[in-house]
Amino acid sequence: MSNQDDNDLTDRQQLLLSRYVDGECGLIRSLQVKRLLSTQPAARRYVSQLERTRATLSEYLSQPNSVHVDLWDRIEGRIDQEEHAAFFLGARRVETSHHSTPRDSIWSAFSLPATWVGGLSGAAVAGALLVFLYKPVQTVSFSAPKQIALQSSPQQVQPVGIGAQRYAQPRVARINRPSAFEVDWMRSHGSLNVIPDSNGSSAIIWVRRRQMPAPRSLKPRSTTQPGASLTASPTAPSAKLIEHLDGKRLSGAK
Amino acid sequence: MRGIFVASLGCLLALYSALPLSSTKAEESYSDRPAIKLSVRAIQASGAEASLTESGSESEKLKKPHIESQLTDIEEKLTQLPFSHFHLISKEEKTVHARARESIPLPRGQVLTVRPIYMDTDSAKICLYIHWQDRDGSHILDTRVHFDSRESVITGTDSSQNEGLILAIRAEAAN
Repeated sequence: MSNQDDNDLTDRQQLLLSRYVDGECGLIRSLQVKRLLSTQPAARRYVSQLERTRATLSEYLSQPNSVHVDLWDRIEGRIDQEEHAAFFLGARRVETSHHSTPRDSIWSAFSLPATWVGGLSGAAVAGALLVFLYKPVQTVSFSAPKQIALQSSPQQVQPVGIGAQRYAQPRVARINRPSAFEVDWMRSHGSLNVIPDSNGSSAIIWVRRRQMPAPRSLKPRSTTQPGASLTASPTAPSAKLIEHLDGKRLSGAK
Repeated sequence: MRGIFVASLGCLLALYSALPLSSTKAEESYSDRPAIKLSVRAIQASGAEASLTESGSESEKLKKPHIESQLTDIEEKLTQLPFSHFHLISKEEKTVHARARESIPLPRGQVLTVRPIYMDTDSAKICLYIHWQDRDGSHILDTRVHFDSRESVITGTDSSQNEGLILAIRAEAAN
């Protein structure tokens, strides 16, 4: 069918003409076809093409089949292959249909390892949330192995110098009391001093950001402990203060 | 698979929400978010001890510092600092609940943020998170301490050559 004829005729007209060629039109439609054929040359060309196509097709179908292809050998060989494979590997299993019952699909889903992986991962996430939200507040108290012993006299309270580190290590002044002063962490932009009370229940936290004299009650140990650097600056005034306090204590003990 | 994962996660979360809160012996003494009364006093300390290379009698050096009457409760602590004068600048009292964060303005544009973590009424122990921030945003002190709630925690820093700013922080149960 030429495209030009297709463009001239509507789909309804083409259908009508096809039925006319096939002999399927009644009286009214035959009259419509005849009228269409008399008024439009495109309709006459369309009908002639349809008749030529029908004649060609009928001629082709009337001719005997001249193709001689014997496929039986190939089919028989394939059957033998399937039988041998079934003998050694087992019968060929047909894939189950997807239109199984909902009950079967649920149980079959549980048998999949991916299901267990998904379920266990969900359980792990929920367990991690439980642990994270219910983690108790732990008071971590550090007792430095080089802890300075506290004296009974408040004037002889010895500070625990932490040093000029920006992030100081916590020190604990602890005595035999349940409410001892404890430090979880301590950070500062300067040098930290922790001066515990005589009873160890509280403390003074001093942040030294400038060069200042040492605290009044600063007294270093006679032997410098590694890691427990004192806040006393190496300048002379602090050394003098230390010597002064040592002298006073000795005279007071007498 | 995705649906089963979501379903299992939802079941576990529902189970978690339905679980009763566990109570240990330590937690039994904590009240649920108790009200805590915070008292923060800003103290101006001055007259830092001069260099001891200068001449001076021992009595002058160790004479009792001048402490205002409003600071007599912490006089023992203040005497351990190398200052001769202690003047109360400001006093702030606020009631906060445990685990609630409270920011308290300080002199010179500094800010003190305090957060009570817990209060043990049996042992009178309290845990405080203290964050002291300078007006330029630098951290003066960032710490978390446990101490006797009947005592005050003293912290301070030097503000100039001979002066210092001291904070006396006290936290007790608000009745």
